[in-house]
Amino acid sequence: MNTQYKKGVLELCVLSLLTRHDCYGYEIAEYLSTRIDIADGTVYPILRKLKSDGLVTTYLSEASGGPPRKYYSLTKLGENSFAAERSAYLTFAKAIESILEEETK
Amino acid sequence: MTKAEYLEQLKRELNRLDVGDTEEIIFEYEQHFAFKLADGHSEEEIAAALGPPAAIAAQFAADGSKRATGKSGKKAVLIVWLTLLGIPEALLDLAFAAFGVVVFAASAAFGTAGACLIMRLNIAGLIPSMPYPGAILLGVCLLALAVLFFVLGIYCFAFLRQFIRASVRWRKNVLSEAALPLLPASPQFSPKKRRVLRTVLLVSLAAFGILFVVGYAVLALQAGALEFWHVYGWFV
Repeated sequence: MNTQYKKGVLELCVLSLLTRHDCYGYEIAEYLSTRIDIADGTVYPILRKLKSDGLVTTYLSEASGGPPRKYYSLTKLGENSFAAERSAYLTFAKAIESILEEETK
Repeated sequence: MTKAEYLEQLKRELNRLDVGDTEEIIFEYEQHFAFKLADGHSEEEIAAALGPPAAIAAQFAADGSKRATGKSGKKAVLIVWLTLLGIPEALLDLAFAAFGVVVFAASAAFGTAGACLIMRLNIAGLIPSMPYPGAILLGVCLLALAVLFFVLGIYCFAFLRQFIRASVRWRKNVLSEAALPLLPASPQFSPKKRRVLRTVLLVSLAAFGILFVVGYAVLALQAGALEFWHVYGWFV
């Protein structure tokens, strides 16, 4: 599958996961790589980009008996951006789907 | 590729592409390895699943956020401020440490005086003479005081240690974006240790109070005077 258009959608997936609860990096990487065929390592650059865009923030939390974990949390900007991007994507995906379905008829 | 090799390559590529905060990025990948290793994967497997380091580094570089140059100046100012703030703080710590040493020294002195009284040792005539039953009571009373001061000394240094740790943590937080939870300034003992310390403190305090009163009463009765020290000629 073409990786070029997968990348943009991955950001949306990360934001979607974070609307549910704060996650640490590995949790997000695992969640995505088990559902979508991507290299595990590609999730971290996405997280960093989301952070530098101000859509997520990070905080360290000390897990019992281990190194502190870096948690990612959605900002207000991230929430708003996700809501808008989500509906835009769903509309777009539906349109594409209908086009592709027509083609095969 | 092993974990060490992978991280080394990734670091090199990130530096080559001038991506900032390499430590923070490497930290994420280290954590990834740690979690995967705990799940029973081999280092080679994990490295292969992550994808080639060069490709990952390129992705970091493509997503922008180059090394923030404007920030370093701000950081230097912060470091100067923190250092200036550190001077009175260090002096305070030093004074507190000295206080702790004095408390321990007092504990040792009380202990020695108490032992001398009990064992009827009069080193260089420093211990005032008094009849024996009263002397034992006051000797034990002094030993209780020694224990009391010893525990206070322990509290002193525990407080100092925690204060320094909290201050270091706070400094780290100010200097880096990653905010670790702040530490409380009061000493954190384990519940068991706290119980033991509190019990010893209370028992020694009670023993000191009771024995002091009883010892005083016994000596006053023996001397037949409330101000018994005149009878034994302490202050002549």
